Amino acid sequence: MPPDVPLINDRLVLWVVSELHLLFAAFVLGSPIFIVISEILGVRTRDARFERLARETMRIVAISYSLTALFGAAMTFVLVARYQTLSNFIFQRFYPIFGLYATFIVVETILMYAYLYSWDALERRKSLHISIGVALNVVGTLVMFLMNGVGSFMLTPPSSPDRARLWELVNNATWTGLNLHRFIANIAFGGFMVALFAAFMYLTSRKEEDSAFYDWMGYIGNFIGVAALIALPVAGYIYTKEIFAYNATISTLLMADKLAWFFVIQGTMVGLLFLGAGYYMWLSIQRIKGGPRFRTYFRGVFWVALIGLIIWLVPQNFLPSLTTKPAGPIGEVAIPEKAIFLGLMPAKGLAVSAIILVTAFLYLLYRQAIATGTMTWGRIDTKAQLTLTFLPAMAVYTMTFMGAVRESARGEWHIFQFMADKSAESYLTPLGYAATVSGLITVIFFLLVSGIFWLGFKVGH
Amino acid sequence: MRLIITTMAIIVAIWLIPFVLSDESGLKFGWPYSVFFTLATLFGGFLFYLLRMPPMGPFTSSRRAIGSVVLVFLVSIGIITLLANVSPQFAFEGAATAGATAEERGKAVFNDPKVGCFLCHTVQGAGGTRGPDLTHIATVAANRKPGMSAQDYLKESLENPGAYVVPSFDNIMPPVAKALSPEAFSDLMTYLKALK
Ligand code: HEC
Repeated sequence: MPPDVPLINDRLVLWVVSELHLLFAAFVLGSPIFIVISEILGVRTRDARFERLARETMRIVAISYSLTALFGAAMTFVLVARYQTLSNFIFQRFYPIFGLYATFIVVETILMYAYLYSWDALERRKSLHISIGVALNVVGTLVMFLMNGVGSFMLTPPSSPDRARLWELVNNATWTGLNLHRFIANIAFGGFMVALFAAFMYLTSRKEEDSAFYDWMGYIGNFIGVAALIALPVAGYIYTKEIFAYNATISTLLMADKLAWFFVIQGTMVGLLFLGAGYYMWLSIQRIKGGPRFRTYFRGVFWVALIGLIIWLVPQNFLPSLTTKPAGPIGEVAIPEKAIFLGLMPAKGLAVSAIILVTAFLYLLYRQAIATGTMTWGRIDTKAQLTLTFLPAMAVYTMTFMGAVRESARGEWHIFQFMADKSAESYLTPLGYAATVSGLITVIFFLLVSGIFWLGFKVGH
Repeated sequence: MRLIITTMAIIVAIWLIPFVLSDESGLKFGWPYSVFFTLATLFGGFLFYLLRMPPMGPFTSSRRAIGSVVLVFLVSIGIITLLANVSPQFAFEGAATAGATAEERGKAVFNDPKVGCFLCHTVQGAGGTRGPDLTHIATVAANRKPGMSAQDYLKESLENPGAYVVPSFDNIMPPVAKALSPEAFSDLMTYLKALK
């Protein structure tokens, strides 16, 4: 931290409240997607567990909803009070969008409570209840798209932001990419949060019946998380492609300059997510009759994933930025010339694809094993449940951390190459600082979420 | 046991191999890479240990269960935060886009994939080989054409590369100056002139 900036400053406060707002928002937007699907599956398969999963998750969503609003308000408050020029400009230029946004939020809230509280009343009219759920998702997704328009605008505004038409502001160069990426990421995140909830309940429940249910619920949460996770890199690729096409300075900053090392850390976390999901499947498969016969496959997959991860992460050099002059000979800190291909995009792309492919393969294998063997729910290696708490930890951390990267990509601009950030904290945050703040936000989020689980499901039960 | 021995053996190899390899082999990794590979190996060892770890029974009390969940959470977050803190750090200062010196901006232009200089030219060990090494181009440029200053020669090289073709290279360099904005061009010149 530069000496003239206090430890607790405007940017830090804005950073923390907006990330918390975004995490809760992601949860309340992502979860209803599979809550409704789960309800539909419950009707289709007559398996009562789907219905229970949908209801319990919806209850968590409802409690989280108020926290989303609370942090949203806090974020607006800091923006208006401390970043006046920016917020004035944004609110003025996007005025109709914010009007629409407020309207949709009201509609969404009504739908949300209608969906939650009409569950029993509409027991005999399932299709109506499901329709409310679908409408809730449609409105929720629109709300997100609107705000993505504002968020993506700040990084990739059209050529003259003060004169461009509203649609050009919203439909800017990276709107589609951000929409797609957030949509899929929210589902993955929701899935892992369900897994966390299930693990929490599994580990603290006494009744056989509950253990069996929460074991199953954790399995479904992981299932949703992994499925979305496999699709996520494609969306990430599209999103970065759009950034690259928009302006090469941003891409240099991200990939070759100061933010390059951020991506090594991101890769570590994403790799751990894939490996953790694979490990959960391994533990889960053990209790199926004949499960251990898959050992060789799992070992093979872990080898491929491990080597893939090493190739993905091995850095081009150990310099923090493009302009740093190495202290010693360059050969000490940069990849040697005959191995240079390891540091280049084709090798990385191949490695990531390998990790995704083998995880997808595991997934199929696992489905196969479940379909052919008998699963005894409620009796699973406790490590599996701990893995289910590890996955959300990584998922949340990745999200907060990448949020910091996305904001840093603008450099010293509030609105890229249009409105400079003239505040005292306009500097880029070094990796260690950014990671520490993101880690703290993750911990705060986790504490709040545990509180929700506790209040909603333990106290008074 | 076998796992521990294999892990250890790989780590020892990681640290010994650079001693055996000569500098010319082009495969000699520096010590930061050895640290990186060591961490990766330790992680791999841990991973395969997890695979064969015996099953773990249920917790005896809720308090233990919650304690373990919190522990897993904090330890995993802690390790990542630690890794991020020991990775290379740039100093707190402006981004490369605004507030950078002309030389820094020029370097960014040079390394910009759209401009593509580094695809053909090497500077300080990194870059392509279709064009001459530019590590000391400022010094070289001053002596290329008798009576021509480094500034003029560099300008000519970017505006009209065919005017002087460096021996043993082909006349394939595009007239890059045309594609650059005046600011980018002047930043790039500042950067090249600093490569003494
Ligand atoms: C397609 C490959 C290619 C690209 C791209 C390219 N160059 Fe070159 N460059 C060459 C080749 C080949 C030569 C040697 C032949 C000649 O002098 O024209 C050269 C020569 C030069 C020289 C003179 C070197 C000397 O020793 O006299 C300079 C300076 C130079 N390039 C700078 C640049 C800069 C700056 C860029 C980016 C804006 C660039 N080049 C992009 C291929 C390239």
